[in-house]
Amino acid sequence: MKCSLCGFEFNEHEAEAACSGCGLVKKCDLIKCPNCSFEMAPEPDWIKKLKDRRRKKHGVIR
Amino acid sequence: MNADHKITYKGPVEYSIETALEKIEELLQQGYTISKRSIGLLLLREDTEIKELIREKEPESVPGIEAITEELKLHYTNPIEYEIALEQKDEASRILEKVMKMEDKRVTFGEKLSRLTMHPLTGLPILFLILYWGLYKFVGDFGAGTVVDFIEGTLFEEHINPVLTTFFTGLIPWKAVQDLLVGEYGMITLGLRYAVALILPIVTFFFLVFSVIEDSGYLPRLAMLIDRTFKKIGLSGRAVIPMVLGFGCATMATMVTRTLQTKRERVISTMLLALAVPCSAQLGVILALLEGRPMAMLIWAGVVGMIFLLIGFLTAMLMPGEKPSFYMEVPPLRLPKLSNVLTKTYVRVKWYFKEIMPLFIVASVFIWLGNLTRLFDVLINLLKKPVELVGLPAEASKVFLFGFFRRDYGAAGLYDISKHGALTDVQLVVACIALTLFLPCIAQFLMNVKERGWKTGLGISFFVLFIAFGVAYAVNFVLNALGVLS
Repeated sequence: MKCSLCGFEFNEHEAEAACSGCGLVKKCDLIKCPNCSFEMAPEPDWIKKLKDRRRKKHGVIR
Repeated sequence: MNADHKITYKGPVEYSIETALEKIEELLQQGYTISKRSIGLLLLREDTEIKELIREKEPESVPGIEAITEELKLHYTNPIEYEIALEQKDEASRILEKVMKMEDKRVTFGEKLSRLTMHPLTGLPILFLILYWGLYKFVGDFGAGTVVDFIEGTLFEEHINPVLTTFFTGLIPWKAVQDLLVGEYGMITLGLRYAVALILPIVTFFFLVFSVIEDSGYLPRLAMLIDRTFKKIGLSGRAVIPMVLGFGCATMATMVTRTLQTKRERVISTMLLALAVPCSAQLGVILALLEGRPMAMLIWAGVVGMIFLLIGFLTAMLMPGEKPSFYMEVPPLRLPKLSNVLTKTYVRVKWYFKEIMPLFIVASVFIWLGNLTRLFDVLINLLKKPVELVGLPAEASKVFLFGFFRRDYGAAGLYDISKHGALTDVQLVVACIALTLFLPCIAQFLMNVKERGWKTGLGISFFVLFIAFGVAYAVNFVLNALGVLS
């Protein structure tokens, strides 16, 4: 994924490491950039599934 | 590294980055997975992980390396990290020129707009327009005004609360338990109403605007724009990140201050977050309270902004330290995508609501317990004197008590008092200023202590308390003396 603030590209493990030390880590849905610490909102699973279903049905997603 | 592309770092003839690198390479005795030159570069950039590695593998080299780094700093005006980045960027451009042919192309509208957002002369008016239409009109006027009026005033006050109050008072014979659920500070009539009818719509509108700004790529430009101003208060554009996040939740933003380069920056930004950055819900409620009173809004924004800059400037003067450096990749501006904006807003609102809902219910239980044991009255009496001293009615004391529990809870309490017409315009401005500058909530206080230690955490809290009431007192005095807003 790519940080929407600083443009840094990182993977899930790096994002998890950036959250170390935060007490809210378990119930938090945000992703923290390991480079600048900006918190981003990831696409929820149910939206991904919805998009996949639409993609299968219509071919493309706009 | 290909020898053709090895960068020879320039700089002062007597002591350049190149000279320092050569000396560090000579000092390093152990073998590493990357070249000694790369290790040297990371050491000059003061990379904490590499410093730790050297300390472990060859502690005898550390004093020599530190001496070289300090000596080098004396020969450059800018931070070394920044100088290295500049030279690497120049070398990258030179390589590109050799291997790529760039066609002359017209500067697009997006690129022109991008430049305008970062130039101080045009960037500040653009920022003002975004704040006015995005925050004042959309979040404050429409979200916190029209929408909250309907959900809180019509739905909750006229329909939901009366039905639930009748139901529970008929069902439960004990007055104390009735109070816990549907009393003045009840879990439903206060906790649930504040969370669902007040805070939820406000943060939804706030995060909607925030997501549009984020998705458009404006945030890095904002960082570049205010980098110069922030440098005057001992910070850099990098501090825009915790400051912007502080408008969402100052507690999380305080944790983000650990990414700032120097201790000085971390302390200054922690203090400014505790003092003058309201969280999203608090900001939304304040915008709603001052809606339709442009003069009051200007005074509130002017005083809080001035305190932010003044305290930052004074702290930076009192805390000498290294000048922070800042550079970042600026992605292209783009039209925000509706699906992205809605997804981001949904996730952020869900995160915020999940956090506040149980806390608001717990707050109601605490207040109920405090009422039963009379502890609530004792605390309110303690706050009464300073509250009256700044020209506010005694009943505003509970707002400050709520505010220490949760900032947004306090703002919601102020909304309730103001709704019943208990405050004049001057009192409203003074209350909004005092509540914005007032002590951080418990969670932020604990985060301050965790990140900065007990001494600094407590020091910041006492300082903030003093400034909040001091400034409120002065504003009340000046506004009454000048007869403004009366």
